[in-house]
Amino acid sequence: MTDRARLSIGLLLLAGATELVVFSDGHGPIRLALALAFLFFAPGWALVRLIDLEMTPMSRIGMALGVSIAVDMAAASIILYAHIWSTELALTLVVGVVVLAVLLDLPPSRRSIQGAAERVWAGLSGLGRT
Amino acid sequence: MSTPAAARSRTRIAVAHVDLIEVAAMVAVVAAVGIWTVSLGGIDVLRMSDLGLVSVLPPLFLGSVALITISYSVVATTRPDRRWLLIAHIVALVVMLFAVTAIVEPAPRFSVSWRHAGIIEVLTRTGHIDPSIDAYFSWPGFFALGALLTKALGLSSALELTPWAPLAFNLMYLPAVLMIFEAITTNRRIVWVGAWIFFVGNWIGQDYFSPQGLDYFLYLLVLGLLLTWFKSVPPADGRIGSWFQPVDEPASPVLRAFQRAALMAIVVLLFASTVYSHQLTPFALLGIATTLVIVRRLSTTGLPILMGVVLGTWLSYMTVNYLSGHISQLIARIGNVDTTVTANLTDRIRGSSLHLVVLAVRLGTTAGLFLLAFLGTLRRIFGGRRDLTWPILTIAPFGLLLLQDYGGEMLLRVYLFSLPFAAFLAASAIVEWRAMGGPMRRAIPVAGLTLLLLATFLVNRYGNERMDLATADEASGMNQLYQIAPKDSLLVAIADNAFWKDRDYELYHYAVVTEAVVNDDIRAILARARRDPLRRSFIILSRAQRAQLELQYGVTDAAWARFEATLRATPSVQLLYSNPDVEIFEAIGRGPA
Repeated sequence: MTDRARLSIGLLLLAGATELVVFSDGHGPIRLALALAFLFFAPGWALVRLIDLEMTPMSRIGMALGVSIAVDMAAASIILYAHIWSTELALTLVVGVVVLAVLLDLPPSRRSIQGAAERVWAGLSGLGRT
Repeated sequence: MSTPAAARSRTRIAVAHVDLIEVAAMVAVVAAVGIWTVSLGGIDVLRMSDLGLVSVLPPLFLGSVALITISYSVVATTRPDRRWLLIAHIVALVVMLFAVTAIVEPAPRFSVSWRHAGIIEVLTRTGHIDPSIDAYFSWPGFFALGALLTKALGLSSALELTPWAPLAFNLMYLPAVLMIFEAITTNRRIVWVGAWIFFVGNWIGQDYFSPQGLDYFLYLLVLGLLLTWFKSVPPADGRIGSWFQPVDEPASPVLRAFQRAALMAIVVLLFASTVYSHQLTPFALLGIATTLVIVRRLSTTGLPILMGVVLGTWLSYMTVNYLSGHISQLIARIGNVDTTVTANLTDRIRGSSLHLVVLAVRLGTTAGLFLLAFLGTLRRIFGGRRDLTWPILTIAPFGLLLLQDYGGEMLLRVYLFSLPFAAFLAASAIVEWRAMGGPMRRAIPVAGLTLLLLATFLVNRYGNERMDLATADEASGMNQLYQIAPKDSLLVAIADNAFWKDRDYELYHYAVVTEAVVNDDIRAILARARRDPLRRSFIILSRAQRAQLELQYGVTDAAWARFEATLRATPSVQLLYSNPDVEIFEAIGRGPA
């Protein structure tokens, strides 16, 4: 099994465990640790690794944190603006992003999204000199 | 099988490879954290003077932070490639400086944090965002995130998160700050010394549980991403271009088109997050990106336009509730630098004699850091590094002063937005100072400067702590207030640092009557309290409010005692509750004519 596959499984397990502990309304340090690790790292880590960038571990941590926060903030805001607030729903939305990112990391999807992104970038380059 | 002689030989080789400085530094980090932990037991926050927390810090605490600073200075200047050892020092320093109040204080500190917890409570209770409540609800991103976090962690209130916010935010700033510095210089000593200066220079206290605390991380991260992957080199033959030639910075890595597209999407996502969570941060980012494009140091020249469109769209469609009531005020303040300087500087320099000492240290530190940054700029120019990008980015945030006074806080924010570049230039000034001889020649000036900055940090950062601290009695007294006062009541505080608004934020009315207390005008307080005779009103006196009146308005003990006695003796005021730190009165009857 490759490192990428192992990481994908780890992210999915973390997402599942967090959903489980929040839906079952468990309390205590395990919920705290799982929810913190998931919300602050999982969505960002799953998305950032799709870019295949070489960077220092600290830069990767910083980017994973920043992107995770942006995803969490967007999920919670969408639910609140839609007047359908529920912690479980907001969390499920974030889990959805992680699952989607893991699916996109499968080799066939990775090739397609990279190709699509290259075409988008080529189009945008015409708008601003890059 | 190895012989005893071979084993001895291997041991000798291993010993020869042990770096004594590294070992000593590891021991220093462990020892400093250990001493710091022990020292916390000796801090009695209730004995604090107007100098703030520094007045009750035991010698062991001061020794521990000095030890780690000296150790860091030696490693950063003599072993700048020991990345994880240096990061361990910074993490330990951040814990020691920013977690101290969370550990030694009995209740969540800083009144604004209580208010922010209250806004999150509104969101989780009502389940939607109502922009008609106030400005916070037109920029709700941080509070929405707070709502998700509070509930996902299974906490009863966001107030449980607030004491740890400064520690969490500063730990988050670390990777972003390193990303910026490593993108703008190949000199590792400058990277590490600059990072240390950044953290001991981050004393202005905007990293509490607040939108700006979080958005500052996004600000640093966007800068880190742009400077790492989207830098450009202007043509050297142009008049402007010759002053912005990179000299000692790594080139941006070559990216595939898909990687550039994805990275730019992340930049836009992070920027958009600042747009709907804080009023000021996106303007600061827009200013920095525009400056980089003007000096031709950013390859994505269309980015400021895109940022402007995202920002303009949010302001036009999602903040109408707020802007429709305040647009004339906001426009009138644009360009009013006089008022801004008065609100940000002149109006703030007042208070008790010890508080004036704190203010003098704050002003001196700020001036000193910018002076050092200026010297760093001169050193770079005269050393043949004619790249004015970083001095210009240090100055660029001052343009925000033209926008408005931001409630008297704009100068603090400008300092914060300038800090990474000021720290970088200050580090450039000090790292290459070769006045001393011997192998430690670089470590001595660095240790001297960072120790000095550390000392000022402890005064600057926690100089208001007597009024920012919440005691257990204050927390339970304010809890009592919400039991006593029915919804729709008017709650009147005598200073704006009451620990209130953490629940039912939109269901009460609030007033602050500091001016009337300073003028010893009980009639004015009662008039405000009874302005609406059909609404019940409660006047709250607390230890923290009294501390603010003493610190910032110079109200003496005698003046306070007189005020309190007069209030107690007033027939139209009834004392309902008191504990050693809180008194709750109800204003009854009609207000004075």
